Amino acid sequence: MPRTVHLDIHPVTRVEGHGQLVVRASDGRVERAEWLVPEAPRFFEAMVRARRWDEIQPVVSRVCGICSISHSLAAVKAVEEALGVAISDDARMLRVLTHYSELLQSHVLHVGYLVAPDLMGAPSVVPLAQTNLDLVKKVVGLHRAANEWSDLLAGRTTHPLTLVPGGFTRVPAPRELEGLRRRLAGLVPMATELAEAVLAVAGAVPSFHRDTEYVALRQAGEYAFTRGDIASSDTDESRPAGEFESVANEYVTPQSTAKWTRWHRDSYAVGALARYNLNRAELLPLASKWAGMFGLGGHCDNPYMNSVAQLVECAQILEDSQRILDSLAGRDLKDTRVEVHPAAGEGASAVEAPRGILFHRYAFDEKGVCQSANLCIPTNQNHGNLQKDIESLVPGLLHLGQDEIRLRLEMLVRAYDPCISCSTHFLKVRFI
Amino acid sequence: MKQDAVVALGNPLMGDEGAGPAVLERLRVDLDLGERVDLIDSAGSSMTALHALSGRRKVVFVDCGYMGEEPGTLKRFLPRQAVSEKNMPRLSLHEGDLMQVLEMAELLGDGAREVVVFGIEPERLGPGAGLSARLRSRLDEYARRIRAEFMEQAAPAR
Repeated sequence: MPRTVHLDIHPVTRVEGHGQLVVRASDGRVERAEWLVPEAPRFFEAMVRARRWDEIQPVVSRVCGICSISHSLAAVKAVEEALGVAISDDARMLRVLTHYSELLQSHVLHVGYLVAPDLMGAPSVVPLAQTNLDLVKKVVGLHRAANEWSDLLAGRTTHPLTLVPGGFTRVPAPRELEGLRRRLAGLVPMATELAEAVLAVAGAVPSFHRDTEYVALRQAGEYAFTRGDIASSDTDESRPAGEFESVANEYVTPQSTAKWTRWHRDSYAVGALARYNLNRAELLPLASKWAGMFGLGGHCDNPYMNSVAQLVECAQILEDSQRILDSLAGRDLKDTRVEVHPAAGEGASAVEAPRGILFHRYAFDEKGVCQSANLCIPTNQNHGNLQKDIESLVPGLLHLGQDEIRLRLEMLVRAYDPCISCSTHFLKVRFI
Repeated sequence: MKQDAVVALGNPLMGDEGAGPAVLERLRVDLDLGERVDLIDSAGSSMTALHALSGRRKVVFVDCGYMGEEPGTLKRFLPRQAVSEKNMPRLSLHEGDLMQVLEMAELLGDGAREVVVFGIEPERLGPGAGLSARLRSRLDEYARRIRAEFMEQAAPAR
């Protein structure tokens, strides 16, 4: 039945813009379906100019409170590339472990706090805790464990202290790593129960497919998170991190203050589903089992399944961490920090942040002072693709009621796990 | 981990939104307090606030709050004495509401035995570092009131 729809979903925000969805349809014809991003620019690339090579990471870590380890890793890798620094294998493995703690934190929060209420028909996680207390306890328990994992390796939960160009300022003692190994082994059953709970309501995941280009890191022999070349689901061609600008092809659009990106098509998607689509052959047994359990199977182009891919990655993270910790067990870690000498140079890096591939580039003069910077974040890379999904999805929703259309669109936005901007957190209370 | 904690919430880059962290910085110079109480800057993370409650005897929160008071007012209250009127779209993990965190901790059976909230009514909320002059001039008073929660007999809830 032809429908008239007027939706303007503008999330309440008091000081910075969030994303906004506008849908207008009359007599069954879509007149407008737009994803708008009105957030203010943040100027981090300008902030690091004239800063020394060792001041970059503490500044760019603040780009995001959730992805601060990913930004820190991208920064130190790019600085090392620019200054010609090679770190040890032990340091590299510890970086992978550190990065995994952030991925687990972020994925568990997104799936457990933001997506699960949609799937279980609860308006938010608080009412969900009233009906599914055990599940929410597991989500909180997993998140707390991931936080403590970050504390151990990164020095604190958010904005790491230990990650510097050249390696680590501090590494855990062997007994601490053994404690972490035992703790992570205990998380697998909790994570499995979370996955099973989501599986029980997986029928509520909307079925929507759109042929999409997916972009992620790819490294032979591993499910790539911190190294490899930039790959696309559209082609066998891949490009090194140093050529990321030719992948992102950033451009501006009137409906967004954030830059959008495109590679082989008008848009591409990054994130857990992109990584799954490009690297699923490298999944370890438990993660592979979970992917099969959810019916992810081969290539998947349902953006709503990004949250399921995040769950699969939780299994991958826990499993691979055990492998790394086994290889580090009982060893006195040495050479986890090499000396860095300032020099003129330019370097770029690519790291898979929870929300997708993240690019950093810096150029330094002979004193190691930053002359230029370029950061390209995952959510920006997804904006254009989200717009294309909305354009494709909305015509097929017009037979639904306005509330259901709104829910489906909000779920789509949430599936991308957007990290649009930091908002405020103040109280607003009435005394009783 | 100490039995007691002061947990500050807020974004110092948004004017008076940063009142909580600013008070926490004042408290940090008090070494006696620091020996007895964990001072935690939860910044924008509701989850950090939730985890900070776990297994504690007493937690005091300090947060900027619209409470219908004169700007600059510091108001002490218990969670049961207020209800949240904050509306959140639930699109991002950056959103947070302390009252919801406290409700969640109670549901999980994982809260501190005693929770006290200090709200500070803002004068100016918006992009830009630093508190309004009105709040800045009262930071010592705010810190004194919160210190008294631990270092002297706590004042009864008003």
